[in-house]
Amino acid sequence: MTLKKVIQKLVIYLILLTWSFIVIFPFYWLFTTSLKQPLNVSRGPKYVPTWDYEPTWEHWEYLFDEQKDTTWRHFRNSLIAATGSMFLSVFIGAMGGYGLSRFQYYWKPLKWRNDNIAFWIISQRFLPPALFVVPFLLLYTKLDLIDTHIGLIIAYTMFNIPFAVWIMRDFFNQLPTEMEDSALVDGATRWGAFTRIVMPLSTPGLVSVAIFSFVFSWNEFLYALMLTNFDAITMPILIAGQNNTRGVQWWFISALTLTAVVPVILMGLFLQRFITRGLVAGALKG
Amino acid sequence: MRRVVILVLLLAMLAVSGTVTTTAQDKPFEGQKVVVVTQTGRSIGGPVEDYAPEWEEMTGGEVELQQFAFGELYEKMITSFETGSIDYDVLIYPADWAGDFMAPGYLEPMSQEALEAIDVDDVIPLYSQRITAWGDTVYAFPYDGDSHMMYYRKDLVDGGEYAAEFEEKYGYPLAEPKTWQQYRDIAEFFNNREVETAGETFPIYGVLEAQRRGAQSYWVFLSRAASYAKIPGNPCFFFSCDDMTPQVNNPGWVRALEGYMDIAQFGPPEMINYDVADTRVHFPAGTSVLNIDWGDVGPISINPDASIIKGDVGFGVLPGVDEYWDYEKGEWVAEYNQAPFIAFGGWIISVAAGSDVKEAALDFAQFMARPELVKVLAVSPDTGINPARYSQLEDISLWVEAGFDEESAADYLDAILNTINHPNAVLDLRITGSAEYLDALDVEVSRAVAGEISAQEALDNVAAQWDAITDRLGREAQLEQYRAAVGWEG
Amino acid sequence: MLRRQSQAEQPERGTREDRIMKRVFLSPTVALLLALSIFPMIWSLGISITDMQRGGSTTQREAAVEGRTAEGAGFLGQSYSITTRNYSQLFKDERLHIAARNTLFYVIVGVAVQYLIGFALAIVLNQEFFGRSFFRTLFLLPMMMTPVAAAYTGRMMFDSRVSPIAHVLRMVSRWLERDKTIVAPWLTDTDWARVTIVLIDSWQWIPFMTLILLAGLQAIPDDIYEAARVDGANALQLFRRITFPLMLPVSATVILIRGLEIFKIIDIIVVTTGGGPGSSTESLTMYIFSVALTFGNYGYAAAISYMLLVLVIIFATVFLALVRLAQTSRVRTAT
Repeated sequence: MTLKKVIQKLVIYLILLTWSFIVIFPFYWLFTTSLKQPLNVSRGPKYVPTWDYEPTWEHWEYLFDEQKDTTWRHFRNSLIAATGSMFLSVFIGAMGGYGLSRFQYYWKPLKWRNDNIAFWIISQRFLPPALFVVPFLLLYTKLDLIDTHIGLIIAYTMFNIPFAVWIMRDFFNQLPTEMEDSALVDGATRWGAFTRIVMPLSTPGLVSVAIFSFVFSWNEFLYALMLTNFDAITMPILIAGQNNTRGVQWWFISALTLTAVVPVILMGLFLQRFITRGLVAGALKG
Repeated sequence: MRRVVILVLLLAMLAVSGTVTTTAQDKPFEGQKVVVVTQTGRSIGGPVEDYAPEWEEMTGGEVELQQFAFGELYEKMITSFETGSIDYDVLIYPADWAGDFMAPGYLEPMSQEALEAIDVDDVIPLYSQRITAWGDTVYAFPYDGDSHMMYYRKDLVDGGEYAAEFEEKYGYPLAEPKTWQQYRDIAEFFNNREVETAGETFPIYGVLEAQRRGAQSYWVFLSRAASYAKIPGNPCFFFSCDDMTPQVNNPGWVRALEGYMDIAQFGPPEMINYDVADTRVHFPAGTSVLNIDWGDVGPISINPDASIIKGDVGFGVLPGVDEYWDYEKGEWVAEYNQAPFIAFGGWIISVAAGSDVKEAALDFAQFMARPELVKVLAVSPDTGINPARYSQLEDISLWVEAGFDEESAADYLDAILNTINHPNAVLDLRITGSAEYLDALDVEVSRAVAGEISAQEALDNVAAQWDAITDRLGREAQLEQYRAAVGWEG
Repeated sequence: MLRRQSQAEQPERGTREDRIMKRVFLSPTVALLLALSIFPMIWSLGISITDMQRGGSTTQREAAVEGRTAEGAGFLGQSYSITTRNYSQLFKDERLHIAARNTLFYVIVGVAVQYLIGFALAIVLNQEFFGRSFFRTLFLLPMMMTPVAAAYTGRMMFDSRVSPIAHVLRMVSRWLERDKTIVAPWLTDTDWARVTIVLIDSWQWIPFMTLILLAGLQAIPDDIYEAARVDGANALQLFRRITFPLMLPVSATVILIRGLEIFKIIDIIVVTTGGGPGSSTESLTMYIFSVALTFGNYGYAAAISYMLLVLVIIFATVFLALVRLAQTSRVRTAT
């Protein structure tokens, strides 16, 4: 190895370690804060449990023992909303993407073809959510969807669909058509070809759609706040709610944040190798 | 109208019979689920968590508690009413939202029987007749009494150690501040001084006052404005009762805002981002000499888990001024004026008119508001329930048992009683749109404190916005409401 | 850059089954978007020209004082009048203008910071080194956190008294033997607060930039670099002549996505500063939500949302035009 190479490696590791520190330290801080007594938070930074303060598990016990019903209700609702919207988004997104990739559409009134339709779909993702506040509330009230799991799932699916269709369309565009064509020739129906041949071949695309749908729905705050009252209320609301008349309850926020992040990380780790390829298929299209 | 009255009476009777039959019939509300909504945290929701099982055991009903952060609570409650999706049966909420909740009939009126069941005569009339009512109808049970008061470190201020130095510098003796000027002097005197707190010596700040935008800090500003601009004998403070002209930019208010901006230099730099919720964590941790807050700080200060200054806290009515602005005469009046601000008015309990388990909901509301329970809650450092009843305020032993020393307890209760019984006390703004009026005030005050604009500019902006809001909501309608709310008899 | 083999090359399939099926495939997407996006949008436009508000429209309330009831029961059971007051208010409302300025600040500064750091990290992660996949996964962590929690974490980090950063600054000033402790007013000074909010947002979303830019880098074939290296190009030239131009489409996409997402910023601000100090950090989305849900001024909230929509469209159009300009000028210099 030449000196230049060595220096280059050193620089790389220096950057990596610096950024790793920036990424990890807040998580570490959350963990230590979740073990602190209030006075250990308000009286200056304490860094290492047992070294400069006496750790306590009482906040965790409070959330997962005394308050376990409340914590679990929020957690479960998040899980239902995120998983439900994930499956719906993947399915509807794959259908839409497949349609736009394999058929030619033409909508006369505006002279729209596939590309215009695709653009219209993706543009829906970027509409300011503020545009919908009042009508959404009224619509949901009329349909009796306020504070229901299904209501939240539908709303999140609406938000996830544009990306899902976009990514899947690009994915299918790059997927050779020979296999489904021969299946069609052999007498398979379109639907059969789609579900039995195309879908299994598209795992990377489907997985990346699944991940981002899940993560978005899991972390969403504004619509959860607006559309749920009690039965369907989710984790981010619970976390935001830890700011009360006794000051921000840093220890509860820390514990709940760590709890909320675990399912996402597990899922990310498990499916991570698929995510890059799928997402990029969408991004590269520009 | 007649039908409504009959219905209400009928329901009230049902409700009362419900409580009476508790003994006769074993579990009157078997299988009924009452959803209670309030703010997150132990302060207000905690007691519901703790005592609900007892009620469930007694009645067979089931209580579920839903909590939201303070910043979201109003929106959640009002949209749930407005969209007609009544998911909450019992609401525990700040009294100053009455205009938006009680006026449109979203809440169930409380019958005389229901009120007697919670021994309403024991409640201080301010709460039982004004704060829980809209017009002549009572819509809520008092739960918590709230008014702003002043806290100071009496070991430093009343102790002799600094007296000589202070008197030399300011020309009058160091004691509990009676005017905002004295309050400022004390803040200046102690700011950054090394003092002994709980056996340790470290520098202390002069004051802690909430100044964060989008939180509860505009009440702290209003507490200051009240004594500068409230005319004794004239109940109209925010607006004139003749034509709804905003008074918010008159010289009294401006001087109050200048004081509120000026005091920031004697607090921690972070203070501009502190809510009351933060200052009441830091004051008991020995951070400052002075503090403005609701009654909560009293019980917190004796809680060893949160406080290192137990027994060192002095309690006082909000300071006054030596000269106040009289907008009727258009001039400064050189008379001592004190006008405690009944900020917020406390958390009160109501039953939603649209609830489908009204009877059970009312029963649970009564259960939570009954004197025996709130008496216990008020002295507990774990809750934010402050006294609103004679039985709480007149019984010193209650407070001593909770951990106050006798002198502190007397001092604390005195400060509260003197505040709520003060003839010149100012009630919070409670008319339709109060959330919007106060938000406009909040934003502009915050801009002034951040140094973006001057006090006069800020309050002129507020006045202009208040006028716009009034016009949009209908000036006549608003005037009628405001007159009723302050009890104006022109 | 675009490969669109299948749709362009495939002849229209005329079978009856396909004519039905192509509608079946697309209709769930279109139906959902029409029902939950387009329909509310039109509804919103309608609301924006009325005097409807919480507690009764102006028309209704004035009628009530005069002792008559206003005709008809429209939206929310309110009778209303058509008015342009919401749109004329747009020009008068100083708070709105400040919020718009703040939002543009977040978008422009936020995108710039995130793109630059994100790109740099992507280049580093694209090198050969031990533990590459570990770091790639690790760097994604911030994205997993719900924004509300990220904002609270940010508040813990940037507190000027009890945060580790403040502690380090105190130690530094002691070490420098400065008389006055260095205090960084992260969230308490009007100019700093905006930047701090951008920092928190960046902490969370730089991983997104890195993820996609890295994938873009990986998609550039090695032989292009090889050829240039043979021609004697150095690292900087390689970047300028090959990496950057080839990455332009991906860059444009991520910048556009992030830019449009930042237009919606609200959670972080609500948690960290509540819009203060003063009016320095309030965003448009945040203002709209207060107007709609706290003030109940529905008509005005709808009008502001449309203004925001116009801003978003302008941003996207101008940006895309710039990208196109950059691309054509690249092509011209290359030939």
